[in-house]
Amino acid sequence: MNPIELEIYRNLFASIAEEMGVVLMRSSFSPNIKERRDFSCAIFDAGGEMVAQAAHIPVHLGSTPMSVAAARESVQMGPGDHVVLNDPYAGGTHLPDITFVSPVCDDEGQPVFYVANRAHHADVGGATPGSLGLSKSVDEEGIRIPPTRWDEQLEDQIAEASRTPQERRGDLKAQIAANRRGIARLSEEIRRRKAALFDAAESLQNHSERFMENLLDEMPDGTWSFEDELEGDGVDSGPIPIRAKLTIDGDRAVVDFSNSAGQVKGPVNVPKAVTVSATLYVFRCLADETLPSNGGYMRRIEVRTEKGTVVDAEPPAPVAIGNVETSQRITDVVMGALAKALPDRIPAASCGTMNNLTVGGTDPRHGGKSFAYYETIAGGSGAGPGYHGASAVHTHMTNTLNTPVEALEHSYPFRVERYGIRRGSGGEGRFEGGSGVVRSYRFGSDATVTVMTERRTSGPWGLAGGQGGRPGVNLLIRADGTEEKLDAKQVVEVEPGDRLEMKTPGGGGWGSRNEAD
Amino acid sequence: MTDTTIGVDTGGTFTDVIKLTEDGRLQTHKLLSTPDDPSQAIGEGVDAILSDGELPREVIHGTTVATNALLERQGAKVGFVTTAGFEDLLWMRRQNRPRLYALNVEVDPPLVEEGLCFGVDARMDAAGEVIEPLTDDEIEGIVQQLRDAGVEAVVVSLLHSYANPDHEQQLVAALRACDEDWHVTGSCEVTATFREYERSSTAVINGYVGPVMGRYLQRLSGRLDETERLEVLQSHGGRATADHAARLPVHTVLSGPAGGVVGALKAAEDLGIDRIISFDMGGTSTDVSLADGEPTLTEEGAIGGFALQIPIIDIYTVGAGGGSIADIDPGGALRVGPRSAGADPGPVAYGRGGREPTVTDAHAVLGSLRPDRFLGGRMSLDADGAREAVQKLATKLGAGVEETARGILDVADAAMARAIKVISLERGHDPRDYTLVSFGGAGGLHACRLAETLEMSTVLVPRNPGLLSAVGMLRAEPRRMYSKTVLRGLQACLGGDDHTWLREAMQRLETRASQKMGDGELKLGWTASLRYEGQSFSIPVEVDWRADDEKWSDPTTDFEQEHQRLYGYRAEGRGVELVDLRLEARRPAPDVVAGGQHQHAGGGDGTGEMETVSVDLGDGPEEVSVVERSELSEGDEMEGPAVITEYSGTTVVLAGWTVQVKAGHLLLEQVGR
Repeated sequence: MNPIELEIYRNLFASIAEEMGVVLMRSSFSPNIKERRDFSCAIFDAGGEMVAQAAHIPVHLGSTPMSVAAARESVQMGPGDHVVLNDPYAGGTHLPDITFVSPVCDDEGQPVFYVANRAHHADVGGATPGSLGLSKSVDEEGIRIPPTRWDEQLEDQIAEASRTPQERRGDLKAQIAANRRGIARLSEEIRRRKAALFDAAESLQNHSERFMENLLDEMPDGTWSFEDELEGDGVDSGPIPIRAKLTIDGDRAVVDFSNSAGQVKGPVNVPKAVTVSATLYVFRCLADETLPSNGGYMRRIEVRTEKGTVVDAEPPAPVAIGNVETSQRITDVVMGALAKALPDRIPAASCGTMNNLTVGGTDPRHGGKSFAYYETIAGGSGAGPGYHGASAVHTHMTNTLNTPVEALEHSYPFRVERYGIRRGSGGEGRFEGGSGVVRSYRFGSDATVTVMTERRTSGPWGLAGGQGGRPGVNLLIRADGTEEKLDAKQVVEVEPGDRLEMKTPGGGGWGSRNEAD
Repeated sequence: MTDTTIGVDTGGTFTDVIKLTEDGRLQTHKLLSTPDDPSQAIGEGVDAILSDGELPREVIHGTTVATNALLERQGAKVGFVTTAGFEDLLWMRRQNRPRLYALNVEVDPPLVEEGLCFGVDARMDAAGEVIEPLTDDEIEGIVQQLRDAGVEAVVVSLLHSYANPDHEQQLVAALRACDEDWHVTGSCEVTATFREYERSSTAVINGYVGPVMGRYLQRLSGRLDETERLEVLQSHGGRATADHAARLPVHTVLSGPAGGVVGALKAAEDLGIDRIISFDMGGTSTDVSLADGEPTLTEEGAIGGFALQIPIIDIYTVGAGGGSIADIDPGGALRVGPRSAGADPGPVAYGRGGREPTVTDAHAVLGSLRPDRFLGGRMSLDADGAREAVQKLATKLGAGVEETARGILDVADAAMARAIKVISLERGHDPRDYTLVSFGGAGGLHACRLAETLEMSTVLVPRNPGLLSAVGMLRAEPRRMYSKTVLRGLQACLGGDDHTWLREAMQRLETRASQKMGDGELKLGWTASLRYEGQSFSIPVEVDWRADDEKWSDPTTDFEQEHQRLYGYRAEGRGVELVDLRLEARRPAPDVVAGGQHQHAGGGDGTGEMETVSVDLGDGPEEVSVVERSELSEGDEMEGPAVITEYSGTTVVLAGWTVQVKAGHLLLEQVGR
């Protein structure tokens, strides 16, 4: 396929994936999907390799291909089928992320493409509201669905498992609608363009592979290692080291995590899919933004892990928080190793945690109706060679929006009393790290509050002589004025009048402050 | 005195003045813009177009004064007053980063300086109940802080003011009562809708451009002191008085592009066409918008990276235009844009130092742009230079020069087709049901090709495409919009306590609209934004509700049908929530320009000279007729392939298409569709 057609088809596939995303976002019910945009949509070829992905959430980059692979292995799909899964040990990431895979079939009923979307549901059952608690096994984290053909009975099961069944049913409908839109658009294009469409899919993947080949080729060859750690898993004492050994060899890269800590009791483990996603994200950042997001460039980057480690866990290890927290640390270690290879390209560490907060309970304003609210709070981004970090932004593996305070207070029985920049929390340096955020809440009813955070003991690291950012703080102020410093990961019961203040980490600084220009 | 109406477009290098004469003809005058003080060119242009003793009744103009102040950051020193604890609101935005895969996270700094944000100790809850009252001491303290800071404008935006504006209004009233020359904006005066960042951002834009706009309008009305009414086109496509524009200038920030869409709609109306996709392809970017009798509005817009939560025409912009540069990406694919040669140096063919091949250069290579007829023959193109530049790229690609030129156009088309799909298919409209209305310098070169790609069978190129915006100003209706967030269950609003409360709120807005719009025939229409309980995005549904009516019709069925059309399903039985109500008040503009009765300024006799030259329109060189548009007369018809040239652009008619002059416009139709 010539360079001209390539670009035309890149636009075509990308616009279909984007359109699926619009349908999902606008018609869904979970705040995570509709407001925070914690979802992604993609198209795959008949062999299950990604053809296009809409620019949504990085943490889904490398993990959706594994969902499609698992769906294809388990279920013989035909016209009208949808396969649903969320099992982290069979193509999923963590239980709240429910994935739909649907085939686009030819006249004989054979799949010629697949469309898939993954969305973060607000609650899929389990011990804690929001399904992001301090679990000790995946079975405590909610309903676990291996790849299963969709039917109404499955919808009932998911709804029954959840604390918010009506919302689940709505979201599931929206996910099906998104895939149907993708199927309709691809079917039209198959009718119109026939074989050329399939050639284009393959050529686009090859094009993206060449893109990455050229990029790796320009990098110095060698091997570099970097280590960072999670502070704890909320159950046992930490720290939990994660180690990456990066090898650039011509036009290939290998990132080896084998030497990382073994899987742990608390929910910070991840299936390999998440480790792959985080690694691919880092390389994606090095490439031009126009690199087509498909399976092609992924062929050039090999991720090695050891089964039974925190970065490639085995059942029944709990994984609820790994997707949001451990993924950030994996990004940091790959960045750290790359900084040794490319000292002029890589920034200092960013916030390094999504500062997850879940509030669950019943709403006295609405006759005791139960609710589960989840949000993540931004932090500072790392400074880099030639630029300061940004304040109050989501970094690396997430890019979700905040929930407007006016929307939050309308829907839930608690208020936000302060939301601002945590000045001075960025690391000093020739270029300064961005500042974190202060957000404080006052509760209006009894509620269960879960904080799942990292970088509470030591802050994100600086580079090239820059200082680290300040670590975060989780503070509970009881109605009577008593202050309790919460752990990085903790579940706590609150009463009316209690206040929670969350201060998020700033980004690391870059370069020594005293260094002459 | 005669009834003279004048439309003025000040957007670009030139200021276009257009006058509707007594006998229904249009007279035009073009003069160089005066960017330092746009009112100068307007004043001179209006003077020049008036006959002796003639006085203008109305002057309607589109202005980029607010837009430029915003984009060039030349606005006022604004003080921002908000609820204590949220002083950083403008920095927090929605906490996402603009580019997903950029290591250097860059966020545009707000329009307000960090030290000029002030917190007020007072608080409402989401139901509009006072949690912490606002005291006189608190108000005095804020006023003093603003005085000390020496600001020019003040914006007040308190949490939940959409639910209960009391505190916000008290502050605004106190600030206006001060003997300070402040431009004061209360967020709910701009938009009484929820989402604090978006509402505040919109209000801050208003304050930021307010003083600049006020000074400008004062100068302008001084120059046009004999004009009865001076009006400004709004971003939603309606027009409003200069007083309104001075108080709420945020409504003018997209006034220029809005003029184009209104002009395109009115041109289509001349031919009895309602459904259009406007296609404005300029040098660096292309604007597309879909309209069905009325422009499509959105309240989820943005300008310069700042949220804009007021109704504006939904225009989608893509970074591909005549000046877009063609290049090869690291994976070996041909890319066009987003880099642009701009106006300076411009494409290689302009001969002003451009080195990299652009879309315009590809047209010069293929012959669709005639070197000797560019800008009506006022500028000649360097076709050899263009060919040389495209040849260099062709060598890198290992392709022929014509093949590469065709490729550049195909890739540019792909980006524009994608933009049109976003505003049509993605929003549940089939482009095949619409007419492509093409204007802008490069539009006519691509319209036919693009129509074929999207299977659209009709293309309209309005007469005087360069004056389309000015005509749009002239023909726009006086219109105002008011929004009110409700956030209550729909059924409760149709009867019961909420019904009474809502009718009172609506009554206030209807009264306000009547007062502001003056006497005369006024059309009021309400639109309800509805969603299923639990959703975030609402769907606008027109309702026949009036504040006076005891009983309202239930719009649930209309809503569910629309939900089905947009998203492919409905959730019957689920509660429906009324999010916002929007009032549109309009006075129909007199139908000043009836189709077909005025001749083109340079009207020919239809026997104009035509030449036949070799042009490559996509399938290799072929013999193509080239004709000057001014030589065509009403009713003339031609078959493609043909190239029609005029001062403000070139129109390509492909083989299999016919072109007809109707009401002065070019109507292109695909044969057999």
